[in-house]
Amino acid sequence: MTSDQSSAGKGSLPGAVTALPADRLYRPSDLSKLAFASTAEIEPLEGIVGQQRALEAVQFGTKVEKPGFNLFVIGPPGTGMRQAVESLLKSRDQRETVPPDWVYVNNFADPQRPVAIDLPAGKAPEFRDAMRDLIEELKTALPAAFESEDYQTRRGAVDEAFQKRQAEAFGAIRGRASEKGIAILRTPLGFALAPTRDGTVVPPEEFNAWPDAKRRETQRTIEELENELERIMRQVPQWEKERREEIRKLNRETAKYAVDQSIEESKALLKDIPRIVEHFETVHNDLIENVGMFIAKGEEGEGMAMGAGPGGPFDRYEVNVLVTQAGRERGAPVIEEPHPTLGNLIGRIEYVARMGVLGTNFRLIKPGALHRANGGYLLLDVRSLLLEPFSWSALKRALQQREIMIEDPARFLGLASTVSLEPAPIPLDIKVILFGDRLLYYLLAAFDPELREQFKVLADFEDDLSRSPDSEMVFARLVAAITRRDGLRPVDRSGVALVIEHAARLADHAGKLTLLVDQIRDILAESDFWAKEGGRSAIARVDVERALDERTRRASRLRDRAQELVLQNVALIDTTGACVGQINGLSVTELGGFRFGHPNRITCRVRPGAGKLVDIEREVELGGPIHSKGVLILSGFLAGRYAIETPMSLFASLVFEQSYGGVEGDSASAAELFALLSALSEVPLRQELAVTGSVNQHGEVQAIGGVNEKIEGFFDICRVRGLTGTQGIVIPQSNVQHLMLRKDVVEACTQGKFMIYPIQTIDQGIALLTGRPAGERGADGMFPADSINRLVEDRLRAFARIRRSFGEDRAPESREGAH
Amino acid sequence: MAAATFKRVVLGLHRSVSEETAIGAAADFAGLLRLDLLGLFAEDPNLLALAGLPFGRELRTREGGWRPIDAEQLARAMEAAARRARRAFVEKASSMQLTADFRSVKGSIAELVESLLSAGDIVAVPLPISAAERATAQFSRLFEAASRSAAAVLLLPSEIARQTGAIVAVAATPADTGVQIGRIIAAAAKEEFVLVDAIAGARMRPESLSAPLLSGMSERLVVLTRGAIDEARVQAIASARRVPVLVVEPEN
Repeated sequence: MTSDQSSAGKGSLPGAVTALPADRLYRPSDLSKLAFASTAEIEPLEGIVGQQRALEAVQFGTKVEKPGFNLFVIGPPGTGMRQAVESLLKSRDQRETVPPDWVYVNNFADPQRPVAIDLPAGKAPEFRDAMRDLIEELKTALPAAFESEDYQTRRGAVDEAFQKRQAEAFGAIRGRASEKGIAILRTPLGFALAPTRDGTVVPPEEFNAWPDAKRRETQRTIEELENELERIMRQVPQWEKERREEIRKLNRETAKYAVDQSIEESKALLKDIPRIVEHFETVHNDLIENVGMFIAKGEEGEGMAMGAGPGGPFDRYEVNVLVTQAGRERGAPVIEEPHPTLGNLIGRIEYVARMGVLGTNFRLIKPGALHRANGGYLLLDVRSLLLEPFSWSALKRALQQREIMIEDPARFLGLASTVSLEPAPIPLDIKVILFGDRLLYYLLAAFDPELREQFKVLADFEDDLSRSPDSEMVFARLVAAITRRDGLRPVDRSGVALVIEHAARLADHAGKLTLLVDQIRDILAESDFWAKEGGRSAIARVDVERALDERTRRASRLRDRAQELVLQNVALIDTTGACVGQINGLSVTELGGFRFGHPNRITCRVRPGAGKLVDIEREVELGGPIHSKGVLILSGFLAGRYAIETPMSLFASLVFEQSYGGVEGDSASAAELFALLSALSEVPLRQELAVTGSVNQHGEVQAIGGVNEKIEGFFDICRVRGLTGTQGIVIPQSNVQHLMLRKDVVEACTQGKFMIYPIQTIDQGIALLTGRPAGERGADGMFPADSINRLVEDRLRAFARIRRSFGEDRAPESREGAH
Repeated sequence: MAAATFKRVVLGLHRSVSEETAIGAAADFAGLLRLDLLGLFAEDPNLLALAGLPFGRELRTREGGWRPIDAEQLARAMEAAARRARRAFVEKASSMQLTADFRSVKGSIAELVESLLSAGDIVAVPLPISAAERATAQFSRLFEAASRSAAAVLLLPSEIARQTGAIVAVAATPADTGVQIGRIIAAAAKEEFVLVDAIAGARMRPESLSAPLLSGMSERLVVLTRGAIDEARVQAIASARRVPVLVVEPEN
């Protein structure tokens, strides 16, 4: 028996719904446009498929040279959007200019504010090496200059003149003192004068024994000599100062001679870069002022340079190559930062502990991704970016100000009180490309007004591709490309067909193919494994089937438990018979990327009331807003179709039986309406059918999601209990295009053991479920007798009468809940 | 005296020199010739006597002005200076693995040196940096005592210009003792040996005490025989060239 015959047999009502034929349940692939035995014979697909809109957006965004035209690339994970963008950028970056190198050098005037200098691409290492060579050379040349005979002779002459002047002064006083038997003595703290005899100081007792006149004379002489000694000593600092000045002048001349020669040679290498020449001049002046650090023991009068930082005194002349394009002959950099912490993004200042104190200098400035990508492209995952504190704000600030300012979070959080740096900002010329899912983009667009200012170009990657013989051919080439790139076995023709069909299933649409390439890649990898296990050189259809089955099996523990509960009558689901106010609804559960459908019993009870339809799920706060909306639509449907001339005097309660978790979505609203109509009409519903679909206030049945899984979920229960030939599913007509059902379901339908009924209206569905026509209003405005609609309307009128008889038509609505 | 007969270096420390520089230079020299090293520090009784005089006072170099001398404070300061000198001496001698001894004795440094010196000694005399220091009795007596003794004298400048360079002998004749000793030291130091004619050099630039003799040289040590040039110029050479000067006795 075919499904058509089957439905004809069951559907004896006028305009009755017929079950779908098997060819509407599964669309096999059509590879007629491509002759091949396996993918080894196919030209692999280059680039990306089905993303023309997104790629054009990327092309546009990367070409616009205006501020704020950064890109936000969105799409579902696994579409290969990042690879597509990278591939596109790499193909064009060869035509773009190589950006400059950047270095930080010491700011000799203010070491806390290092100076940033840009150099032509690749020149930074040269500059660093030139400076390093210069200092190394000076480490030899300067000590040699200061040890040279010429210097020593001149220095000796200065010292000698000074010594001579002092020696004359002190020699004179010493001579005078000696003549009078007085000696100048060195004490621990200074100088003293004392009377001597035979070269030794006259002992106090001997001195005291001297005649008064001699003692007074000696004291007077000593006082005179003391005055003279003091006068000379007062002159010594001035002489010393003059000597130091002479030596400083000599040292500068000596240093200048040595430095001039070396620095001119170094400067000549980079003489075309004015800022470098300027820096060399600054270094030149500093070297002359701080020549002491080059002389092993430190020349007198030459202080060591202070504030040089943690690496030693010569650090001040180093060059910190922050970013260099050395080795890049053409094209702009494309940088990806997988861990965009603030430091990784905008750079950071490191510290070293020395003697218990944290210190830093310009050499410890480390580049961030913005530095490395400056002049090119920076690729960031927006979720990672948002998860890192301060990073998103810092990125926007950098783009807004068009410069990279390194900030130390420890400072503005007050976590560190050590002296830090304020490096000069570096001009930023960059194209930032953010990757993320759509939800994040829309949330940011809604809550962060700066997003639109800085990310003006949106590239939205498609989830799927329209299915046609042409696109299937392209997909086959994609399969070939994946297998070759990933080193997998080729896939034979039947295997490719199944992969394509599975791609349609993943797209939830028989007329589309998913563009989630990663999922296809995973399937192929698993199929390759099974082909290997089977000893096949190419992946066959059976391997793909095995891979899909094993995937389902691995993930289906929860589904199996749910089915077990139904089969053991713990979860009550009837698959035979008929019942008033009770129907099988269908729901889909998705956990860890695995979706499965299962039936739920929906029941409805009615009685006279004030026109309220109670959604029990909502009352106990288990129903989500969309579910509640669906139920409220039922009220609208009832009010619009029935009891037009009488007040709605109904109290109805609807519930998902044995549902202990949340219920969301409106895909059960049609089923709920059928249960309500059955309860009102008191006509039983066929329990061998399950229903899915949403409904609007006009009674039109609308599409829902997960139709394949829902059908399969109910089919599995029926199959185990035994297919009766009357079981089936009622689905919205608009969902037929989405059907890509499992092979066993299709086979059962083909054999007439299971039916898929597409409906467009509630009337079609109620007729199918009750075996009675829904009925249309006649010229008299009444529905035909015994029709469902007539029964419903009569019941509602009866409720109205009952209410009137009890005088409750004005009762406050709030009392309904108390019953 | 032949260099081979030198046994030890005797370093006389007095309060008017930088101890570290003097100890370092003396130790380097002793190490070069593998000689023993004896350090002497005198706690000068003259100073204590001065403190006992009714008008005894000192001109303080740091804070300026004349202050009375406190005998106890003076004694403590001398002891502390002796300890400091001992520590620096021992550290340096240990680091160079020298056979060394250090003595701190109450008495005049000049008398101490005089009493201890023998013909196989080299007495190292640190030169004060300032003329004021050189005018003091302690230095002048040490220098005189050293000069009078039979020992060779090593004058150590307060700053050393260089650690490497030629060994220069300034001699009136090639047969001077200083020439022979200079050659030995140059061989030990693996440095160039240069002989300078003292008589010809003295004629070159009579207005300077030191420069003409050694013009055009980068020496690390000057060796000369006593009497080759006058005493005043010896000190001047050491100070101006800032290199140690070794004065040896003539052979006869």
